[in-house]
Amino acid sequence: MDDFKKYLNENRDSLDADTPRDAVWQRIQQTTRPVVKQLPTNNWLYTAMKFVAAASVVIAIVAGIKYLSNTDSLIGQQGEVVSIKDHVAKTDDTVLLTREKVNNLPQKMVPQQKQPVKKIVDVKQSDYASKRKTAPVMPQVPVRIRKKGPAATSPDDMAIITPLQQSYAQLISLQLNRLRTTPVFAESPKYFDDFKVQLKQMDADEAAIKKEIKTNGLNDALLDQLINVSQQRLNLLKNLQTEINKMNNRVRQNQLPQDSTHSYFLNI
Amino acid sequence: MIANPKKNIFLSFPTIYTFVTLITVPSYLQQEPNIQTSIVRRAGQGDGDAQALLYQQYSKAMYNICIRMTGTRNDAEDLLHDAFLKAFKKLDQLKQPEAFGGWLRQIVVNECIRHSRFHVNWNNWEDHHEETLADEATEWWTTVSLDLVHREIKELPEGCRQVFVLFVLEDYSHRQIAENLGISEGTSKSQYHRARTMLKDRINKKMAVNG
Repeated sequence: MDDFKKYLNENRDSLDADTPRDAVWQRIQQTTRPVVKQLPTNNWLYTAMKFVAAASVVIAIVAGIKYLSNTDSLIGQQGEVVSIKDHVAKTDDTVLLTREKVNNLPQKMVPQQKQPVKKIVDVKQSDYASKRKTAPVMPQVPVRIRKKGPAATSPDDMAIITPLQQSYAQLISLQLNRLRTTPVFAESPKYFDDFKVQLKQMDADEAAIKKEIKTNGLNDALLDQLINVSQQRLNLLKNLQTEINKMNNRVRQNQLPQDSTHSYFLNI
Repeated sequence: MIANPKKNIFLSFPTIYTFVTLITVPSYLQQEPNIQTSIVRRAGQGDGDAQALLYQQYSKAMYNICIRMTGTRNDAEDLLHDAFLKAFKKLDQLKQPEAFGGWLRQIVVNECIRHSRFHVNWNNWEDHHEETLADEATEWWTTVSLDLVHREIKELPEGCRQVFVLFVLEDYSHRQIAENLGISEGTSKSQYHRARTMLKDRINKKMAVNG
């Protein structure tokens, strides 16, 4: 190392005469500020906090899974949680028509006469012994039902009922549209009058049940009645569709002339 | 019955003090006997106060490297800014916090070299034979103020100034300078001697005028 180089290195500090302006640090500070983070005070405390956070996440996940799995459980008399899906499936085997209503139906349309017929108010959940595989799949809405409900209707009750009604209403509407667009080649429109009367009666029943829910609040029996009435309507519409299809097929098989002037559509 | 004092050793004052200290004193103070190391670690974790301390401690020296390499205040401040940002960003990669000063200095010099490669037209330079410095028999620099030397270094022409700074003040060899600046080793040597000659002439001239 030559002497000049050696001299400058030995006096390096005196050589550094310039000073940067404050603006440089301000710029650096502005850039680094977003990444500032808090320091942990102690290693063990930091580790403990991380452990607690991780444990909380795990507990939340387990609780969530458990809650979701519980929604499929059946409600009991003590007001547990139940899903509508199971509830409807269990009521499907029991066609809840009064004897009078059944008798009013056209004979060809009542294959379910052999099934047990019970009064709506007599229906208990213990009667729901079996499930039908063909039961309509309804949205799983957890329903909390009061065992001995007070007279007033809470907003929660209506919130529970609304999706149930909407689901049934959609299915019924689909089936009605299907019937309205199916041409009928046999019988006369009067043949289906009894059916129309029956359908109107069910509408009135449903309105009465809703009114009672509004008045007395939601309870097991009323919910069952509401579901059963909706189920009845669906079954009737489905049977009507089957009956019309059978009649039309009979006409086609016998090669009877399908007179378009005599064919008609149901006005329901 | 007299209790054996040895049995109470775990309840003695130093033991309790140590235990309380371990619980209450922040971890970075427990682990770092050197406060400088502690500051560097904290700065690496994003602590603004620690970063400010490091800037306060090193900014002047680093800035002078920059201004001698670039010759202008604005460029030097830009390089200083970039170098500190890079250092704070990569601080977690520094395995030995006590080596922060040297590590930062290397970042600053690298930034200056990168700047020089783009802003100096090195192609116009030609290799010259190594000139002798034998005529510098007297140590003329000993009578000159270091402030004047610093000012004259900043006034040196582009190219030879960078070579001079790297060789004299940053202790780079001519081979390293050649590799970093993308020039030949001979060019580095000749530019160094050119810088030495110009520096001596300019300082002597100033001394003659101002006394």
